[in-house]
Amino acid sequence: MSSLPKRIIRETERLISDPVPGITATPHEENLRYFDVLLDGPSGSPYENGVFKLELFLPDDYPMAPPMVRFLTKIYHPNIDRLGRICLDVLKNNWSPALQIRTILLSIQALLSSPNPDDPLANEVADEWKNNHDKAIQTAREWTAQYAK
Amino acid sequence: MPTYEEEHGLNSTNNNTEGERPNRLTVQQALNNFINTPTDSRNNLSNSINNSINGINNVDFNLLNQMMNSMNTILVDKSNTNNGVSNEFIDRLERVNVKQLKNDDTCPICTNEYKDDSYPLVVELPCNSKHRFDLECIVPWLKINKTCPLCRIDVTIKKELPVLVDSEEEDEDWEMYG
Ligand SMILES: [Zn+2]
Ligand SMILES: [Zn+2]
Repeated sequence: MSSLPKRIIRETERLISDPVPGITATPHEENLRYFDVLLDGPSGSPYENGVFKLELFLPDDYPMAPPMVRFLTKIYHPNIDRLGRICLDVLKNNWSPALQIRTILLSIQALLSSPNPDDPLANEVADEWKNNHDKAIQTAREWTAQYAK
Repeated sequence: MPTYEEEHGLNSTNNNTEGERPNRLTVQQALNNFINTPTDSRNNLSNSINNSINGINNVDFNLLNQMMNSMNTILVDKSNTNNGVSNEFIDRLERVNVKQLKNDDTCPICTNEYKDDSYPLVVELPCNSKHRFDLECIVPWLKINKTCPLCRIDVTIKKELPVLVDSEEEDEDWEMYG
């Protein structure tokens, strides 16, 4: 593996010294491109009081290519499938090399506050979200209590 | 190092036993993995492939792999050939005189201060804010995208606009971009 670009070192230092509220990102000692992420469920959302584990990987061509991120904690959300993959524009065709790990994690936090069932990754969840909204929120709360501890 | 697809469970879904027709579910999921970017071309591709798969209960996974590989090649090829700017465009980018750079100005891509380099080669994009980047940092991006990383404007459109504003009809086009 090639040496770590200064940008990644700088981003990592800042994530640790000046963390985003409700988000911690810790690099693996043996692979500094690989981060363990803990994300607090936003208050006012059905994910409130949950702590979600994610993994984040910076590919070799980062920042020309976006970080790869997925949820490890099970989550009931129309834009996150059961493999933890996240449907979020900035992780795909709206990626820009001026974005950073912290901006991406903030976007994911915002996605928990504002699900978008019209651009679903988990189709059944999205249907429930649109057609049986109260029950969907209830399920999201239950999953949060059960899995996001 | 495992690929994204391996890491993100493309293979593990082969063991899916939850659905009534597990193989078909797997096909859909696998395809979704590739078709998560909602451009028209990808949607069309995904529709036609989804249609051809509907009704097949037992899918030959070698065949599926071949299909996915060729799809991947198509998508990658498309992004490499159609989405970037030309070399001429890059050559014509406005270069910023080092005297215009402040000591703490940083490149938004590598986050280094331009003046860390004793001989910085900094360019300005033709977006409204004339955003600046190290030439070395912006070139790999512009080879695959036409947008400014900071304001996301299509940097190739603006250059053509002065030609367009001559007639009234095309003033309307101008507003579309504005
Ligand atoms: Zn740079
Ligand atoms: Zn710009």
